[in-house]
Amino acid sequence: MILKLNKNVLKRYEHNLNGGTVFLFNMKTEESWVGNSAADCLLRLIDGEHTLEEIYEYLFPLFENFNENELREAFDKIVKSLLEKGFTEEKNG
Amino acid sequence: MDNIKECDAKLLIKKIKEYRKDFPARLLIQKIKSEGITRFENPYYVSWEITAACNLRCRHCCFAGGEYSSKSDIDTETAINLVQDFIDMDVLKVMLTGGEPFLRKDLFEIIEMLKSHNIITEVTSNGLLITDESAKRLEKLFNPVCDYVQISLDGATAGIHEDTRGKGTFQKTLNSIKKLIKNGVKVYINCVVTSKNLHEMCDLYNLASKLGVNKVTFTRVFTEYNNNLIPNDKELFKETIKLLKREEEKTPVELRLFTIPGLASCKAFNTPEIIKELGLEQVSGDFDFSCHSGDKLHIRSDGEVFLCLHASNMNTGSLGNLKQTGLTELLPNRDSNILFGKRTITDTKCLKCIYAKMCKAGCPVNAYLEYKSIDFPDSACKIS
Repeated sequence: MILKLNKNVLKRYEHNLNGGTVFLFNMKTEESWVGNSAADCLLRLIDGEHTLEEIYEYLFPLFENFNENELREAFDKIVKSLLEKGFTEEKNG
Repeated sequence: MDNIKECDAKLLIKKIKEYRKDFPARLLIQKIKSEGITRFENPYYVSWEITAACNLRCRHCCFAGGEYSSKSDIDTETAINLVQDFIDMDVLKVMLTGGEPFLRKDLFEIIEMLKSHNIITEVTSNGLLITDESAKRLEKLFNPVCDYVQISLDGATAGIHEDTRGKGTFQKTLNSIKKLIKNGVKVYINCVVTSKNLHEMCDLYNLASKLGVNKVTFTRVFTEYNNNLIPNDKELFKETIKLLKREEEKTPVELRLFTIPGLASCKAFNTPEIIKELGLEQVSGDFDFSCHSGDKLHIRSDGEVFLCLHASNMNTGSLGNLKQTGLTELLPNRDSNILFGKRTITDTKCLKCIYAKMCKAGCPVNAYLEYKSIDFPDSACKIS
C-alpha cells in the first residue's frame, strides 16, 4: 500500500507541546487530527512513493525500546485512523 | 470624521472582526494557540521576495530604494534548499513576491516543490508576463481551495492605473486576470490606495466583480518613500464606507480592507456600545506587547532573512544570509534580535488607551526607527 497526504491537508508539528504534537487540518472540511511525535515520524515518511512496509522498515529501528509487534500494532492503528478520516489516501497505480 | 452614523459604525465593526478570517489555516493556528503555544519554534508564514528584478517601476513600490536587478538573487540550489527547510519546519503558507516573480526562471520548480507538501502558495504579480501557458501550468499545480495569484491593479481606469504602473499596462493586466480565471486559477486583486486613486476604489470593486475575481484587497501605501501619495484620512474614510455598503449588497467578490483609518481618534466611534461590541478595554497587569511570536519570516531576494517585511528597513533587522548559512541554522538568531524580545511599554498613552490590546502599541519597527527602542508606541500613532 502506498499512502499520500490528502492535498487539502496541512501538517504542523510543535516540538514544545506535550513532548511533541502533530496537528493535521483539512482545509475543505475543517476537520483536524492530533497525534504524538511518533505519528509525526510516520507522516514525514508518507510521500506517495514508498510502500507502508518500506516506511515501517525505516521507522521501526528508530524505536529501540519496543518490539516489532508492538510497533506494528501502534502504527497500523494510526494509519487506519488517518485513512478512515480522509487525511491520507491510497495512491492508485 | 467626528460624526460616524451608527449604521456605518456597524459595518466597520463587522469588517474589523473579519480580519484574518480568510486564512485557510486560521482554525489550525487557533487550535495550536489554545494548547498554550505563545511562541512558535518555527514560522508558519513566510513572505519571500524571490527576485529583485521587475519589468515595471511603480512609483509607490515598497521595494523603491532597492535595485531592480536579479544579479543578487539567490540561485536555484539555495532556493530549493530553502523550500526543503520550509517543508521540514512545517511552514503552512508561502507568499512569493518580488520584484516580479514571473521573471524568475525557476518559479514553477519552486511552486511544484511547495505544492508537493501542500504548502499554501500565493504569488503576487503585476500580471504582465502571464501567458496562457503559465496560467495552465499554475492550474495544474495549484489547489483551488487555498492557492491564488494576487494581481496588482491600482485603478478602475487606464488613466489612473497607468499613472502608477506605466503606459499600456492596464489592458494587459486585465487580459492576464481573464487568462488566469479562464484557466481555473483563483485570482485576488490588490490595490494600493494613494491620494491619486482613492476616488476609484468603488469603481475598482465593481470592475473586480465583473471580471469574476475572488477577492479585492485595498492596502495603504508605504510611507517611507511616498509621503506625497498618502491619502487624506477623511476622504479615505468616506470611500471605505461606500465600499462596505457595496459589499453589503452581496456581490460575490470578497472585500478586504487594510485602510480603515483613524477610528481611534474619532470621538463619535468611541461610544460605550461600540467599545463593548469590539471588546475594547485598557490593558492590565503585565500585558505582553510583543509583536513577533516566531510565526513569520521575510526573506529578501539577496538571501537576507528578517522577522518581517518591516524589519527589513532596520539595519539591525537581519538574522543572517542564506548564501552563507541555511535557514535552520539562522533561525536561532531570532533569540538575540531586538524585535524578538519582550516589549515593555511604560508610556502612559498606551496604558490608558482602550485600543492598546488590539493594536499592541503598533509596529515595533516604527518605534525603533524613531526612538531607538521597541519599548515605545508606534511613531505613526495619531492618538494623543
